[in-house]
Amino acid sequence: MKIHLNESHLPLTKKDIVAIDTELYGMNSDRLHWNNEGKFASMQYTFDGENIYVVDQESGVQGAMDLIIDAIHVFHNAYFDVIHLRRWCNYPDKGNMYDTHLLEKLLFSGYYDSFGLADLVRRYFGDIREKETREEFATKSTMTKEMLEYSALDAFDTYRVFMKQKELLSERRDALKVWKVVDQPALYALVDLLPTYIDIETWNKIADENEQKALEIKIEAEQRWGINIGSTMQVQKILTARGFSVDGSGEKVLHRLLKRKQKDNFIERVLEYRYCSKRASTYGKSWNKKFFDPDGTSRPGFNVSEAMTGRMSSSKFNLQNIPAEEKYRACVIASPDCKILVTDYSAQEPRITAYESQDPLLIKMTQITGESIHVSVGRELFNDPNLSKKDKRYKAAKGCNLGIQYGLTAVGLQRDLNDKKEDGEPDVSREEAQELLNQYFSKFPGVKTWAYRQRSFVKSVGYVTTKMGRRAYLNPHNWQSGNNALNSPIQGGAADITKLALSEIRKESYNRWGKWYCFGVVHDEIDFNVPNEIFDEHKEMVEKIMIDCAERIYTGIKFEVESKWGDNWACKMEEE
Amino acid sequence: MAIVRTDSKECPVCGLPILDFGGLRKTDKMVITDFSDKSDYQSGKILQGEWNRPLYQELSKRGLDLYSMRLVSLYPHEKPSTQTKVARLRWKDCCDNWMEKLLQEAKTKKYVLCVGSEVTKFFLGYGDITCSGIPLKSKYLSADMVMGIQSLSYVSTNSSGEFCLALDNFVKEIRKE
Repeated sequence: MKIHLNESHLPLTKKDIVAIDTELYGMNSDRLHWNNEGKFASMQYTFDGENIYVVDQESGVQGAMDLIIDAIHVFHNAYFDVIHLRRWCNYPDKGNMYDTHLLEKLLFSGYYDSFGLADLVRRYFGDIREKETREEFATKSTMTKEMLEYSALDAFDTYRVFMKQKELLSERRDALKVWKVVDQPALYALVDLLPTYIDIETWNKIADENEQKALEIKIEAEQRWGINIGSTMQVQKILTARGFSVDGSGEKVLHRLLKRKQKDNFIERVLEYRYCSKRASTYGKSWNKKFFDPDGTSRPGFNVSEAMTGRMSSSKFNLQNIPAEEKYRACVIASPDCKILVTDYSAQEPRITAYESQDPLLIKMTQITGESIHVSVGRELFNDPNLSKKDKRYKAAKGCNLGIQYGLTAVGLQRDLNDKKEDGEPDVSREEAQELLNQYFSKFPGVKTWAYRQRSFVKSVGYVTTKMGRRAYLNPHNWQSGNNALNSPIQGGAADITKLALSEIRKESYNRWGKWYCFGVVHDEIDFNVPNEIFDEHKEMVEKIMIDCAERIYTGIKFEVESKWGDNWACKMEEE
Repeated sequence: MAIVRTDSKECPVCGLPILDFGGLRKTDKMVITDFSDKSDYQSGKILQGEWNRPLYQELSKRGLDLYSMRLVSLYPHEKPSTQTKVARLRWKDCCDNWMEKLLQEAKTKKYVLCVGSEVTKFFLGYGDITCSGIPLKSKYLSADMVMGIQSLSYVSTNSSGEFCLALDNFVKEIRKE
């Protein structure tokens, strides 16, 4: 490996392959994807796996990029590198760009579960890489010899890993197709997301209220019951003294006790204390400082393909984890003269199950418009054409519809229905749950056959795939592998649809308005912050593309998209 | 307290019931684990319970019988309490005792598989995932090749690729001769 510091070379052609890596000084590990964090340290690249070109001046990035722009680009974790490269040079959405991190997931999702560069280097070449030098970039502002070598090594490793992956991809056209059609365009869409606007003042107020309330209850508990209400042991002692025979004092236990007894002041206070103290510590002011800028913006991080199934995820901070309560979600606000638009696929999973199983009746259920698929399935299950969403049997139909893809059993269905039942409703027995499942499978025999086929298939070949060809390997030593054989193609298929829609909406949005208005993705929901003057047109465009993408992949199935909008993200809570 | 066979012996240091080292004595291959699983206690020997099925099965697929290797443990009994200073000192003595026995057994071994992060870290200086599947030397062992591999609990609940890759490499190294 030979390092060339700030040296030039002949421009690369479109046939060349160049592995690129970037380093920044002073990065906050919670904000690695923020394009206003850290300072340029270096860009390093290699196009022959031997000579590493290092640019250590920000002003030199554009010149270097001009020399390599035509080549095939390879990154390891392009989400990070592309976000930052766009600070220092014009970096387009290159079609011939690969990410060794995401390619490895497409090749081996479920088989391996660590995909860092060090893991890949160990697996492909038997070399050990320790990452201690990387941490020096966070605290230093000039490059030492060790740091220079470390950064060069990353580019070198990325290059040789890609060469190995290239060999594998020549036999795994499925993985290559998913990369080109789904994951790579989705990556550019995520790189390009708008900041999330936050009402910090309200957020802080909620944090203060929770902190204050927790303190009040703590003092009250000391005075009334003589205990530290934060201690589970002491809480359990009081519960026993009050005549409750319990094995623990966890949330579920307490909620069950409350349901049984209707009202108990002590239990209510414990639950309230736990709620307030947890919210105060998890989403308090220190959390807020970590993830929100004083100007009221934030940038939740996104991963193109985090789960084994290929679903997207969010981290640091996790937009998907903001408490599902109106007061918190209302803190995610629209920017001036804009509205928040939340678009979500309706019952995406049963629709994919319908496609995968090719059950004629379930396919028919997807085609009924203007009615929830769970209602339609409920009407079939209970032979009652008048069954509505308000009917308690609706929950049973929904439970079956959503649970089948997780390998639902009578035990699971019974627990699920009893957890969701209203006060005063009788318990669902195991026999009733079994009867319901039997009824479901007799109405939709194709689903039962499909489940059997999937479990057998995974036993013989060790993996399952989505319609797009995304593969998930299942561990034969894991008892959940049979259920994952059902779940992976459904979850993965849902991910394929959402990612495809995300990138196509972005493309159309740029075509029409020269801008991309999305600020986040939560599973099968895409969130936008849209100017009022284009709102209606934008909404219509989004809904159309989302449906088109789903129906293009899962031909013969009808998909539906539901939109909600308002001044803040709580709009999505309506009727939830 | 785990279920222990009544004929199990006791640890000479802490007095807890112990499991026997398992497999063949006269072999040049050894597997080292850390704490045993409940299913091991039922069988009375290290690496012989239900929990170890992935290791047994995956080695078999590669033509190697787990029980033809020497099977030893850093701690052939449950972890004793370490809440008091006295207990901690006794625990240290206990570890030293078993380590001595283990090293004695390891003297004649050429190929050693270290299962789980604790064992791997001790003998190889790396966590299991940092060095899984790479043939290495250990400063504590005279073996020609020592290899780390993920814990059995990980394989039963997560993915198995790293585990299989490490076993591929382990068997490949043995067959090199």
